[in-house]
This record gives sequence, C-alpha cells and structure tokens, in this order.
Amino acid sequence: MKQSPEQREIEENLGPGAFSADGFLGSDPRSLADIIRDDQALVKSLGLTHQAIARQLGALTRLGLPGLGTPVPYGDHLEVIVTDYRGFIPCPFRDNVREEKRLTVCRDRLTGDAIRWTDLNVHMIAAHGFYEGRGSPFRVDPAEVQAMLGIQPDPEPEKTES
Amino acid sequence: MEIVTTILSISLISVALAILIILAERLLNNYGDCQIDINGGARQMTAKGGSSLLSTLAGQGIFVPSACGGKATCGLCKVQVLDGAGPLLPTEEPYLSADERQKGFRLSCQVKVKQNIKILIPEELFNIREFKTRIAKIETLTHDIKGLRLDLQEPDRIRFKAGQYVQLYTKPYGKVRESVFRAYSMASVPSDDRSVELIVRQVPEGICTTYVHQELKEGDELRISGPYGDFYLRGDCDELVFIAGGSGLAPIRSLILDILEKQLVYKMTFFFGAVTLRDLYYLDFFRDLEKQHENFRFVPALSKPLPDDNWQGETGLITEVVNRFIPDGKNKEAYLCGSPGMINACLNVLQTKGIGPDKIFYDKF
Amino acid sequence: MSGAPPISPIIIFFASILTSNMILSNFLGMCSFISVSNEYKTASGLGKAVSLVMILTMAINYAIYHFLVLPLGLEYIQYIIYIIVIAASVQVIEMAMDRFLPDLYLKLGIFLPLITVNCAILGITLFMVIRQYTFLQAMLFAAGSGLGWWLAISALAAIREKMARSKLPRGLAGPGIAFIITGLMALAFIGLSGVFAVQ
Repeated sequence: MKQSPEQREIEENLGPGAFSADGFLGSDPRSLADIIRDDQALVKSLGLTHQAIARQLGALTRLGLPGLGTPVPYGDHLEVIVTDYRGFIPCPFRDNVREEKRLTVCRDRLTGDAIRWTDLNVHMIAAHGFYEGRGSPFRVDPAEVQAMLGIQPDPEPEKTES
Repeated sequence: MEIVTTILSISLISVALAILIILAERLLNNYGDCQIDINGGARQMTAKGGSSLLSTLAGQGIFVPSACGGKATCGLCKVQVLDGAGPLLPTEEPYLSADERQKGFRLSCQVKVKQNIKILIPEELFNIREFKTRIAKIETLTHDIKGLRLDLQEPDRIRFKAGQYVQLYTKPYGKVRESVFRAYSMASVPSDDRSVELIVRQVPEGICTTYVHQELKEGDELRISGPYGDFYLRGDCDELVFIAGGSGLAPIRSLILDILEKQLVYKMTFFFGAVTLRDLYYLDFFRDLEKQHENFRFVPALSKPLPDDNWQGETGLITEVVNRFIPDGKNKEAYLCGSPGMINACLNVLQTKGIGPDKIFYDKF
Repeated sequence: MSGAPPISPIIIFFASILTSNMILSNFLGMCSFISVSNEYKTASGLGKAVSLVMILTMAINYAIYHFLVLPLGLEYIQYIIYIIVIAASVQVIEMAMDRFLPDLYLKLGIFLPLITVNCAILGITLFMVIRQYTFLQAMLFAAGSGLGWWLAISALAAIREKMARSKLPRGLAGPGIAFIITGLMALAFIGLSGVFAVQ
C-alpha cells in the first residue's frame, strides 16, 4: 500500500546508517507497527504503561547524573552509571524532538546483570511506545526492565477525551 | 473487435496520462538554476536548486559550520536570508529567537533552495576551506578514543586559532549509504600548519565515530573543512583554568601548547578528569610539560580509581578537585571541553568560585 | 439517456454547494472528511486540493467521455478509465503541492494520495455522465462540488477545533462526534433544499 511520505521517512530513519550506525530495528523481521503492537501487549501483560516505564528510567538517569560516570547506588543492590557525549540525536519519528546523547546503565551488584538505555530510548518509549526491534543493540526489553526494577503500575488515570 | 478497441483505448489513455505525469515531474520537481546573492552582491553564484542552502553553499566552496551534519540538532548553521527562503519550517523553530526570525535568520540545513535567494553571511566564513588530507597516523589512546594525525594535501596549509574545530566527512560504509560529517576540535597547534591532529571518541552507534574507529586506516584519504568555532583564547586575565574530559582534551591541548609556544604570560592549571585510569591518556606528555614549564600545572583526577590503577594522583569528581585547587575567581578565565554533564557540573563550581559566565568558555553544541 | 437538463450552469454551481452538497446531501467522500477534519488549516488545505482534483478530472473525463467513450462505445470500461485519470491527476497535484506548499504536503501525509479513492471525485464524473451535462454545466458542477466539499470539511474542522476542550462521553470522541456533527449540519442544509433542486 502506498505509504505517506512521513511514514516512509520514519522507516528509513529507523533503518541502519540513518540516525544510528546499526539502526533501531535490529534483525527484527516484523514491521514497525507490529513491533510497537507486540511491545504494547507485553507492557500491558506486565501491568504497566509506557509512561510508567519511561518515568522510572528517566528518574534513574537523573539519579545517576551527578555521578559523572561513577556508579551511584540505588536500592539494596543496584547501581546506576551515566555517561554522556557531546551533541544531540534527533528523534527518528520526525517529531522535532532532540535528545542528548546520554547512556544510563543500571547494574545489579550481586548478579552482574545489567540493563541500559539512552535518553532517546526514554523519549521513544514515552512518546511512541517504541522499545526498538529485537537484535537492536539498544533495545529496551520491558520484561527485563521490570525484572530488575520492579516498577509499580500507575493508579488508573481519570479518562475524559481520548 | 471490441477487445482491440478496449485495449487500444485504455493503452492510449494510460500513455497520455503517463506523459502528463512525466512532464509535470520535469516541470515541478526540477528547480532549475537559482541565483544566490551573498552579502549584497559581494559574491554571486548560480547553483542547481533542490538541495539545502547548507549543501548548496558547500558545493560552491562556502562552508557554513554544522556540527550535526544537517540534522537540525546543533543550530550552528544559521544564515540570514533576506529573500527567497520560503516559510519557516517546524524543524527550525526551536533554534531561532523572535528577534532572529525577524531579522530573517534561518537554519541553512533546513532551507531548500528553490528560487533565487539573497543571504548575508559573516566575512569569516569565506576563510573556511575544504581540505584533502591523508591519514598519517592513527593512534589508539584508550579503549574508546583514537588520535588521528592528518597530513594536509590540498590546500597544504591551514590557518586557525588554537581551540577551533574542523568538520570531518565520512564516505559511505557498511550499511551507511550516505556521506555524513561531524565536528571535531583540533588538538594540534596552529604553528603545525601542514597537519591537523584530531582526537575522536567512539560514541555508541555513532555513524561518524564508528567510521573513524573501524573503517579508517593509515594512508587513507580524508576530507575535512575548517576552521570553525568560537572556542579560542580571549586571555583578558592572569590565570587560565582548563578542564577537560574524554576527547575534550583536544582543543585544550592546542590552546596550552600554543600559549607555551608563544611564551604568553599566564598561570595555567589543567584539570583532566576520568573515572578510572584506562580513560586517561597523554599523561606522560603533560607531566613532562609540567616539569618544563613553571607556569603550567597538570592535575589529572580519577573519580573512582580501581585498586590495580595504583593511582597516586588526585581522586574525586572533577568538580570536587577543581573546588580544592581553585581558591577564587579573581582574574581568571576558564576553558572547558568535555561531555555536557561534566561541563554543566563544572559551570556550577566555577560560578560559585566567582568566575562569571562571561569568563567561562566552552563549545555550545 | 435524454439530453442535457435545461438548468443554468450558474444554478448548478450554487446548488452543488448548498442543496446537493457532496458531503451533506450525498454523503460522498466521507473517509478523508472525517479523518482530516480535526485541524482547520489542514482541513481547509485538503478541501482546496480536492476541489482542484475535481476540476482537473472533470475536464479530462468530459473530454474522454465525449471523444472516446461515446464514439467508440466504451461504456463498459468507462469507470476504469475515469479512475485511471483521477489517479494520474492526484499524482500531478501531489507533485505541485510538494513544490509549492511543502508544509501542507507533509501534514496531509497519506490523505493526499487517498484522494484518488475519494468517491466524491468519481461521483461527480458519473453524475456528469448520468445527467448528460454540457461542458459548461459539468465544469461549474465540478467547481461547485469542490467548493461545497471544502465548505463542509472546513465547517466541521472549525466546529471540532472549537470543541477541542469540551468534555465528551468517552466513546464519542473523534469520529463519533464528527459523524453526529455532520448529521446535524446535513439536517440544517436540508432546510435550503427548497431554493433550487438539481437532483
């Protein structure tokens, strides 16, 4: 089916070599819409929302910022390390948002497991429900995030207009 | 018989419409030649329309700075357009104040040249050149930082102020189908004018830094343009504070060596911060410099040294170390280069010491 | 089929805007009408694009009908021919928009090529065939239908923008309330139907 120029550009932006060396879709054979839909279902099955996840990740990044690259303890056995690089990366979804190039790693000191995300990941999760495709080096897997961080679901918001 | 008429008539109509579409495309998508009038007629050029103002000018040998390669994230490519730019695009809005918009400033990477256009650009931009270089040396400085030494071939000399940067142009590689460019500060001194040294840190998934780290080999040709930037010595003080982290050491090295070479009289302290020893480099180089020059002090600092590092130098966050060493802001200027987090943290510390924002310098992109 | 109806083209023009409005009387061209009517500027832009396509395709289809279909007896494939013409015209208009109005082009997105399957466009061509309009009648009919479509979508968009902050029952927000408003507008326009009738 004919794609709108916007959609076409977004899919190109998400591919390798456009905004990031390996792209945001990894080796995932699914279409963008399917990736978003499946992750949406996964997030729902965990009892969470995109906003709740994005909020928690953003909060951890802010916690780790003053460390300037040194680990900042969080909770009993987690630590957060934030590294940043000069420059900005625009959001591939063409929404005129640009994020700083900041990488946050959250590591479990006991098990050695780690999850990581960038500021751009947080924006794409909150604004587009996009966690990146399977096989992408910066895919944020909602299940892994939940396993490590144990995010509390939001209370039911009051719904008026959609 | 009917079948023949059917087929013929549908084919005829389709062909006629196809011709119509082709003609329309020729007419509408071809912007033809456009006249670019620069600085009130000081320079005039004709170029094929259809590309951004930034790339059209670059194609004509005029290099407007852009750190982000035309993606509308750095805001450096502002150009005053008097006429012929078309309506302001949403991608430009965050970078242009109301005053700038009134004066006609636009992001040249977003403005498409579709018709004759009149622009105003600062004179300094005419000094910016494109250089063909050959990679003389690639040095691994740390696990994610490489140093490059480029021999200039054509033109074979570059004139710049210590602290300025160049733009490096990649060629398509791997899955990257287009050429991109990014900004890197020069680590070499202006007197070393036949070469340019750069320090490049690998950004995760970065298109340009991956190119530099994985594709380039000694002997390769590399295209750069420059010099650009407002990061250079003002020197209206007695003492200079330099703070760098990661690849930010590049312009600081250039500044320090230039000052020592010219034997300018300043007391200099250089803070070089990292987390562990493996992120530091050029330690011996700067320690030697310290031994040779009384007015230069080198303070490397690690915020979380590993036991194996056997670190004898300063420890703590760079902000704490700066805090310890700098008593006050009297007669000082500060030059910072490094990650945004480091710069923001240091800005706070320096300001609490009394060094005003007009005395603190860093690349704002 | 009988000859051309003895109605003045001017009357046809006004009738197609007010009393036989494509949207409000004939309910043709509803999908982009409902989907693009949340922002006034975009809706108005789409309305103009649809009008342009209507006028362009009417002219070409009139010529094809009288110089190709009738003489060669191609009535059985005329629908296909008209659709091909509409598709081509939309392509040309898309290109023109990309060149002269890039902002609108990006905002309309997928809805610009969707004009091709807007039944109002095919509808006016078929009305021209059925009612055997003369050239002048056909062109003014196309212009009027376009303007009428533009009027309807702009009105709906203006109303929706004004209502943007009102509280609506959860299920009705979006297309739900748009249909209700359209229905109310259609009811209002029925009041004009006594003025002149062309169908």
